[in-house]
Amino acid sequence: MSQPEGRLKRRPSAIPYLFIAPFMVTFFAMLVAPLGFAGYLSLFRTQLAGGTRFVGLANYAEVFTDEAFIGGVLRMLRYLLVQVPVMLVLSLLAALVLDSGLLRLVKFFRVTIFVPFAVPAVVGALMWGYLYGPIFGPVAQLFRFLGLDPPGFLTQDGILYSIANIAVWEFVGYNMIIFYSALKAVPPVLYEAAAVDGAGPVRTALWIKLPQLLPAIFITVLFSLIGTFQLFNEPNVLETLAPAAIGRSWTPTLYAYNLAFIDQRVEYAAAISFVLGAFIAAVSLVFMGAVTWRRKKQS
Amino acid sequence: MSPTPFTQPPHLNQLSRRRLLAGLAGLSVATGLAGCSPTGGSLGGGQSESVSPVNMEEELKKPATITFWSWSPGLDTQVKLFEKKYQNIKVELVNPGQGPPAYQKLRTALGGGGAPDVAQIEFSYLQSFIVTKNLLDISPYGANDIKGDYVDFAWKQVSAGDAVYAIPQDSGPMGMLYRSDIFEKYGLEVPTTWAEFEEQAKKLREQTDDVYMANLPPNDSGAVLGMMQQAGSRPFSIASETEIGINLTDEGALKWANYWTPLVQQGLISNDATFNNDWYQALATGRYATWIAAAWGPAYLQGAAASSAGKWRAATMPQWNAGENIAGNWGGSTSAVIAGTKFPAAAAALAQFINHDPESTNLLASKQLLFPVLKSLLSDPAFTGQEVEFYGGQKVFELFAQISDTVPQDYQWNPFQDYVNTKNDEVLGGTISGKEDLAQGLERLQADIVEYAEKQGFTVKQ
Repeated sequence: MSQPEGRLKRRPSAIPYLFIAPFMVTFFAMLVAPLGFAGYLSLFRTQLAGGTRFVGLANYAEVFTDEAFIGGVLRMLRYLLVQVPVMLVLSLLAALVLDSGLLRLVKFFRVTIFVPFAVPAVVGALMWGYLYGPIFGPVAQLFRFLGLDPPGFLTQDGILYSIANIAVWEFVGYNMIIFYSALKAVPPVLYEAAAVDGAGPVRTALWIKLPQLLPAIFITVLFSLIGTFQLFNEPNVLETLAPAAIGRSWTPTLYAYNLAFIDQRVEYAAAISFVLGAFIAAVSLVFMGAVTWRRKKQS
Repeated sequence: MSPTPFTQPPHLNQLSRRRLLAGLAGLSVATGLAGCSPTGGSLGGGQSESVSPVNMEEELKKPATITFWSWSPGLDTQVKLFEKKYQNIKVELVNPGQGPPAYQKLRTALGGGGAPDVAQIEFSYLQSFIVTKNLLDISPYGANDIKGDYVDFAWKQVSAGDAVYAIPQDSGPMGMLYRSDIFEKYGLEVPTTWAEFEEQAKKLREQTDDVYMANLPPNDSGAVLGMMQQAGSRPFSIASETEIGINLTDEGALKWANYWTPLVQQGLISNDATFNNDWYQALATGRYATWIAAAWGPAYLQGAAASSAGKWRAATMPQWNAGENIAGNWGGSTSAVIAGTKFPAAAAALAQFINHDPESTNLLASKQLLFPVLKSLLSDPAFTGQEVEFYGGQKVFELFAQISDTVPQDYQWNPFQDYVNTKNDEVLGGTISGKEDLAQGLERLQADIVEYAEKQGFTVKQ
């Protein structure tokens, strides 16, 4: 494309830069600079006795042999396999039912399912902590009343499921809304065609709606993947109730937090954060790559 | 699921001001560790550079504005008294929260600016701030003049030889609170030794499965270290700024572990996490026959388990050997002057005033309900003579004032108490929760703490 000559000759103006300046300044001050500083920090080691010295990549080397960190990452993978499918299937079901037109009071149910997402995570975790209480929690009391052993919600074996349950409760509504709005965007002609072919509500859901939802499912899986590795509030709140089951490094972010603010090893915490960030990016890229590859193969 | 942002860990219990003492705090100190000065004092690392005394009268006439961080509720009354006495000094009182969050904020402020001039710090955390050279030796500001007015073990917690790093505010000599109604119902006798305690626990279990003789918390290093202290354990010692002794498996510690292991394993005692809602209810409804607590416990229970009023009594802790009279200390805090303050004289004067002025300290005991460390208060009939209805009219403060004299004098802390607390919950707490051998838990804890200390550049003697 050729440009009119006059435009090319015009003196470069500062005005566009002024317009993007607010963004650029914020972007650099709030994102790039802190990241750069954290990266710089991660190359040092400050000791309570001994002072600060440059250690190159030693902090990173330590990350890869740190059982607490690796244990946390593996635990999150397990958590991912437990929590994400349950949450997404429930969200999907909720969205499909709400969209099916078979339900009265759709608005009421939609809002009710969404409400937990509006509860701050810390408040939600505190509330569930009360429900999980091993002695006076309502569930434990009910079990005892029935002459049964109360479930070990806050024990080493049970804690993963208990926390997964909180996350499901919190995020089913959020994901449901994504699915529901995606369903609203499905062209009506598809439904009409299906109806003409004699498909009932279940068939329509399985063969029309689900395939149309694939992009939305893809995006929710990706968000969940990232969210899982950032799990922090719930275990942090429940730690006071289940100190031995959760401990200092139940999730990688909890571990980084403890390293920085309890152990006073800020530099090592920075290194852990970078490795965790890289890991999340890698997992996300692999997932996105796999999806794209599959799509290409199909088309 | 959406990303969850970092938040401050809500370190619990709003219910209690007392948690401050409670949580983490303090025992008292270490066996004659070398390095500290011969005149006693349990802090290490600080060499007093024989500074010449400051003319306080002159200094305190100068205008000054200082910031004071404290989580004790209602302390503004005392601050006003101070401002009335020293007209030219203005004090800004800030509540930074209590327990770990307070120390995290303090550290952040120390690193990034905005640090206070005076801060409330528990006994168990003083060494953690001395190692980073954040506390000012206030001996030149007349601190040693009031030394003799405090119970010895408390003063030793804040001093290293002639150097003084804080003024003691309150303490937590340990005793046993028990439910008279439960004791009566099951015909239990108040145990005076740990052997008797175990007998009573068995006697209780023969009659009911619903009540435990006591609860061994998996999440409270303050309580556990306090009990171990009574058994003679002195796990930490400060030899110099870079040399420390760590021994969590000394004779006293193992005596403690080997005593409690079978009790946990036989289900004679429970192992519930403490300072949460379930536990408050458990205290109130009589799940535990006793609570091995500290001097702040009597006031604390009145808030945490109000509905059990009148049923509680207090006694000294069971002893390891009949005829002995040794307690431990759990909790206690101080006012420390932060190095780098622009007004060291004013700050030191505030720390002393709050914790020494008769009107202020009376309020600390009666309003903030802190257990006193001043000898004058501990022997004041107006304080000790109170017949507390919650304890069926028992003079509980008189009892704890007596116990205060039986706290070991030589207990020391370590320079990284934050780490020790969280690691205790994870490792020893795991052992308690899993009903495993506590001695093995202590061994693992020892190994972890040594590894951490070495990573932090300390030379460790085990």
